[in-house]
Amino acid sequence: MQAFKIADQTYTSRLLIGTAGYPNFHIMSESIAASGAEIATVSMRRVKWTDTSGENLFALLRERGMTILPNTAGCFTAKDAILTANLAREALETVLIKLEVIGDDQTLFPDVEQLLSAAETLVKDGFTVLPYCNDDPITCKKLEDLGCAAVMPLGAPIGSGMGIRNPYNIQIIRDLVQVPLIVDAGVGTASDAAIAMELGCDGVLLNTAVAKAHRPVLMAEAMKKAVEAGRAAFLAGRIPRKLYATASSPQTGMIE
Amino acid sequence: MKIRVNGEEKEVRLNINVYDLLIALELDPVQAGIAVAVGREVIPKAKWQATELRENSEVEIIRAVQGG
Repeated sequence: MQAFKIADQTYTSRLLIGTAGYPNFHIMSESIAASGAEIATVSMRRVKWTDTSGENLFALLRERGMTILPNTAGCFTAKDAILTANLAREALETVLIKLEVIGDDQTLFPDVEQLLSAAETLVKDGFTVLPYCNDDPITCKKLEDLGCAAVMPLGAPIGSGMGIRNPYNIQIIRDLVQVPLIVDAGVGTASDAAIAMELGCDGVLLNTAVAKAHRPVLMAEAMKKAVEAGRAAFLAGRIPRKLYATASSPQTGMIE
Repeated sequence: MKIRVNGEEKEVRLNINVYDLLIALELDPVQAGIAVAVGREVIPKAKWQATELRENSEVEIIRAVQGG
């Protein structure tokens, strides 16, 4: 099976997992373990003086040998995203950045113009840029041409759980780009993750579907299996769809 | 002198450097995982001791938190 590589680093798991919104730190930790993910996303925020929980996300992920993928969530301009990326590089000693430049609070859709501009700057500054983008083949192609290490189109709006709303676009993006294609956002349940992989995506990044599931650890396990099953099905090659039946049992030697 | 740290006003000694500010704020400067910007410019760890703050400096101290 072809290895999943991001910027020269090879991964066994094709599931990337978010660390936000779990019922508590312990369930988050257990869910990440159950997902089998080797890459976990984090956000960069102001240090709080009042935080005495002692829960250190960075330490936990590092202890497990996971790749930490900081995001620029909450940034609405290229300028803010670039500053956040630079802070993340300094704090976490990584050049990886999940680049998000949001255009609107309600949809959380990317601002394509600002995204492309930020991606260009960050690639030039030596970052390994993984952009969260629209399921738009042209934008994805532009991001690849700018030197992004992957493209991460949304399946549906962040946290919506609506699944892969435009599988045909994802298929076109698959044909158009050579860099890893990761569906980021929109996955609601295991079958959504499987569909993304069956379409030929290299990976799936999800968070809410696990964090807000009734039983997050069990859903993390389901996602792990779905990504593996979807990948295997893609490689195996599905049969063509037909309107009418074709018998699978022998048509000869019937009792008379 | 007065500076702003993460949006909050703080009274600190004159021309305090970034490293000493972190200690004054009871943050361990050698712990991994935090970054500092002064006036929207990221200050690399190696320059924390050499970077002195001025009256009204705007300091941001950030770290990784749970995110998607």
